[in-house]
Amino acid sequence: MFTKQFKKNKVIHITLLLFMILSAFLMTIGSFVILQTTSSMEQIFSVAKPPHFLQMHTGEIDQNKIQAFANRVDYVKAVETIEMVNIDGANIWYEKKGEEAVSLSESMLDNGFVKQTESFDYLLDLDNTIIKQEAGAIGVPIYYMEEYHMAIGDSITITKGDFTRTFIIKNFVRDSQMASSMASSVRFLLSDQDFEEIRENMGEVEYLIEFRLTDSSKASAVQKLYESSDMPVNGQGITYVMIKLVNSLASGLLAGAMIIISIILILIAAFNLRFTILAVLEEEIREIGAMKAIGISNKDINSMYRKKYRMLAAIGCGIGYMIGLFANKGFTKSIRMMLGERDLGVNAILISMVSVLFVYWFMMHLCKKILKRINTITVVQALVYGETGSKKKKTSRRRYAMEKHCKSHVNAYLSIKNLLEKRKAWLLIVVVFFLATNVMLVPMNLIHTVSDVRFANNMGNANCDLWMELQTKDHIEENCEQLVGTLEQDANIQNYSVFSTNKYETIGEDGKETIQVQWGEYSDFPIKCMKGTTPKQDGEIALSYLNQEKLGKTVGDVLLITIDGKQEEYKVTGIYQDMTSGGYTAKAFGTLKGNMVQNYTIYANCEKGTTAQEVAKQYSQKFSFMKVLPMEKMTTQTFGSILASFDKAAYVSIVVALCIGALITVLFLKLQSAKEYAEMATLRVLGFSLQDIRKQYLIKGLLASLIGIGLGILWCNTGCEYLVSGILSIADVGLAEFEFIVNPIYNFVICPVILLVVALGVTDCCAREGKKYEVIKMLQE
Amino acid sequence: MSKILEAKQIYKEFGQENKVTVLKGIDMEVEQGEYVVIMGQSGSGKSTLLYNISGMDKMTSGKVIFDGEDISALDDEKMSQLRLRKMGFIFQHSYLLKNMSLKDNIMLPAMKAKKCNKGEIREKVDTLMKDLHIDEVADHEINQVSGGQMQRTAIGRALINEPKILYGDEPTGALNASTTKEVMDILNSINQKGMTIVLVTHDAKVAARADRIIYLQDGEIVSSQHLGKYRKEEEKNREDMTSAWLQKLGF
Repeated sequence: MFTKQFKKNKVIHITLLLFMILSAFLMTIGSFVILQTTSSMEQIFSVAKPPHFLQMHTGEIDQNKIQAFANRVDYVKAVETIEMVNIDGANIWYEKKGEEAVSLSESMLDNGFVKQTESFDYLLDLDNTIIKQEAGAIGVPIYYMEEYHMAIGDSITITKGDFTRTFIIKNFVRDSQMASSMASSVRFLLSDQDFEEIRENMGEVEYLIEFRLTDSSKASAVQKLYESSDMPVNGQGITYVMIKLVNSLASGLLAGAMIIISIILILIAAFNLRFTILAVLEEEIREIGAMKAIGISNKDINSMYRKKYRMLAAIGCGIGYMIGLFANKGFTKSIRMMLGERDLGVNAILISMVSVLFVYWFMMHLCKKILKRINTITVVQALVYGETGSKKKKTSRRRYAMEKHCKSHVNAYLSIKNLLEKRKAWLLIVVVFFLATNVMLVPMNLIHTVSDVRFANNMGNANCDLWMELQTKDHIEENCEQLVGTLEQDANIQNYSVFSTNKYETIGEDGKETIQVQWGEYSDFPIKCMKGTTPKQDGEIALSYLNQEKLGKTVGDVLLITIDGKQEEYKVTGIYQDMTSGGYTAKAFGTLKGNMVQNYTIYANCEKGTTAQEVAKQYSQKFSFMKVLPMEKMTTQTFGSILASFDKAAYVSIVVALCIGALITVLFLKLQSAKEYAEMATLRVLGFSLQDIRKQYLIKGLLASLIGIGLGILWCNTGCEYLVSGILSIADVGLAEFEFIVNPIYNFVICPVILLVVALGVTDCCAREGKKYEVIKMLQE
Repeated sequence: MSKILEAKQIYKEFGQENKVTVLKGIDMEVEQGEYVVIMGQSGSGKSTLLYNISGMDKMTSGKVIFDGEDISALDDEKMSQLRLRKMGFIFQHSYLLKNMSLKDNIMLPAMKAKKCNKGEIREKVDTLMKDLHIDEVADHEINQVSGGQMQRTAIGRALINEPKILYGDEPTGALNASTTKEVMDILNSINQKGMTIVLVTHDAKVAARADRIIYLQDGEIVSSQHLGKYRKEEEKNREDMTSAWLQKLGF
């Protein structure tokens, strides 16, 4: 009986098996990813000893003051101040043996050059040993090794004006602080003497004031104490939790995604299993009735069917697990590269086995539940009526009478009638295509939105053609003057505005806080505000969304800012969204207050007929002290790596969504056609042709999928934005209101057409299966 | 009278490797307005013959001419149209559609065939249901009526498009004696109005209502009995004659 079943429903059983294999495979891989991340991270942290609290600072420091602070605070076990020379990518050239040199100017990463630390926060090589750098040698971050396919023996040249220095790549650096590809900074390692030479001739020094604590959980407390103790704070403060997060985020997301997909696949396999079993019961109900009639117990009948699915589940989970065991190295390659190799031992095998056993148990549990209905079927029900004991339906009120509702097209009438009477069942198709529409639209909408130049508004930037930034501290004022002079004379530039940024002290809800303020005149380059407006006169300030929450201020409130020792009042005129600088920024009207400037930002518009790309290139080549980008490239550069992987994931999701949509439709229609077999046979006898039957299924498939797709499009363009906004505001990334910038042709034409083609194609294939049966065979069966 | 059905050298085989020949070169003709019953022992091939001459099953070889048209090689679309417009079928089970009233069940083939407009269809259905004594349960669903009412509905459904021939496979097989008699009276009544009927039955009393009985044995027609048109007063006589004849044949 079972071989016959397998042969008859080969496709369904193979599909069921495939889904089980995939679920088990992904569960295994997900487990390995998590285990590899945690154990590799544990290993690298134990050798490298990353700081528990780190404060970046640009400017003068008093090492004695720092030491005094460290001595004062009980939790501090060790303190170290690391000097880091930041060099722009345009001044760094990589040369492969026998090839032309390329600069690292296209990289958005901040490139810091350091020497090996003394007591903790060590930079390691690929064997996770602490590097002792030789003179003339350089250790290059793993990120660049992968990006540019660098090899030992290649060279890195640093240039600035007349100064040039070439180093040979002797090792690749594993950095416990900046191990992830999502970190925005990387560190190159030089020998002590080479570092001194670079420091004298290149860039500006930034300090990393680092602390190791007796208890890492006290990092936030130490940070608060530090910030309130008049310590050097001209930069970002980072705690151990953030370091761990940055290191584990990418792989955490990967593992999380795999496990979620595995769970989704388990659910789909569960659907598949349910449909398969129900269809088999429908087809074999008379055989089951006969078995009951001759005295075979419910338990034995159940056991016969369960055996088959137990075998399928065991084979599926077993194969999936074995493939996962062998393939996991591929998925953990990036983690092992970034964090180091660590043998996972027997634990990994056991833990992954447990996760797969969960998949097996779930399938068996479901199988048992569905097959329980065999117990409720009586012999008469099975043999005489061919009923499978599904829940008793209420006696339907006679609706949709033919006299009243059938206009002329009998096929359409029968289809719609069937759809309405069995709406609970057909709801599945509606839901499947609703979800498929979401999967097709949401990631693409997100990518389209983030890639769009208008998204720059969410980065605290104005709408403009060009974005320029001067961060190099040396001669920043002169550089800015030089740049402004050029902009003024440049016929390609229509208009521009200069904005300067610095950090100040303010009073928040929890006491003193540091606030980063950008000063300028916003009339030509206004910021899009969620609430209120851009500041228009002296004494006005707009806050970022996160700063609004942190400082407890909103539009109309007054903010006190300490400038050169004096508290000044600023009226909050607007709240805007900003994902940069952790989301904590502010924009005030006027010229820079205070002595020091942290950076200059210039927005500019190009004259008509000039492309921003060309102008940006010219300025990039002319001025090495700044970054310049066409605004349309701003977001793609900033989110480049995330967009690239998200892009791939989006296309894969689309294919997966279509395949799943098609599969579930096939399974559903198979079940429906099994249930409606007798009805179809009757219609055939009455004179309905195979074409008529096919048309009825197509109409039902079209209507159900159309409703799902329509609802999906409606949701994606309305409610979904609120959901994404909610998630983003919980995630604290600086966004509270999110608006999709959609591609209308994709959203309203391409996507629905593709889904409809899939729905109808699959329905048609299933409907054509009716050709196998001759009328009399259908009646006899 | 003209022939409405001609079957020539019908062969039907089943199975791939161990072939079983169920019909062995059957020749038969049915005149327009004739009432023919096919009888035989279990496994003689009587239902197979019915399905092959009605186009419900594909014969292995042979020819069937129905109403002047060779139906042996018709495609599904044309055969479906034939079933819809020119043939009616009744079976042992009524095969009525669930979630539809008795009236809608009868109306369905008429709406599909569109031989007349909706109003005319409605009238025809009402008349037919009255004639079949099921007009009072017209709006009932199939789980609310008796087996006899269901079978009468099936007859109404088979007749609504005024077919040229009515085929039946053991139409009284699931009915009790009195309901059987009701159904047989209806069939005789419609035959008297000119409907050609070809039935399969194992019931001698049912067979006795026919104009002619064909007896099948091992896939061949071995005998036939002409009884002439049914008259109520001759019922007992016809039954006796039929029983005696069948006994001789070993039925």
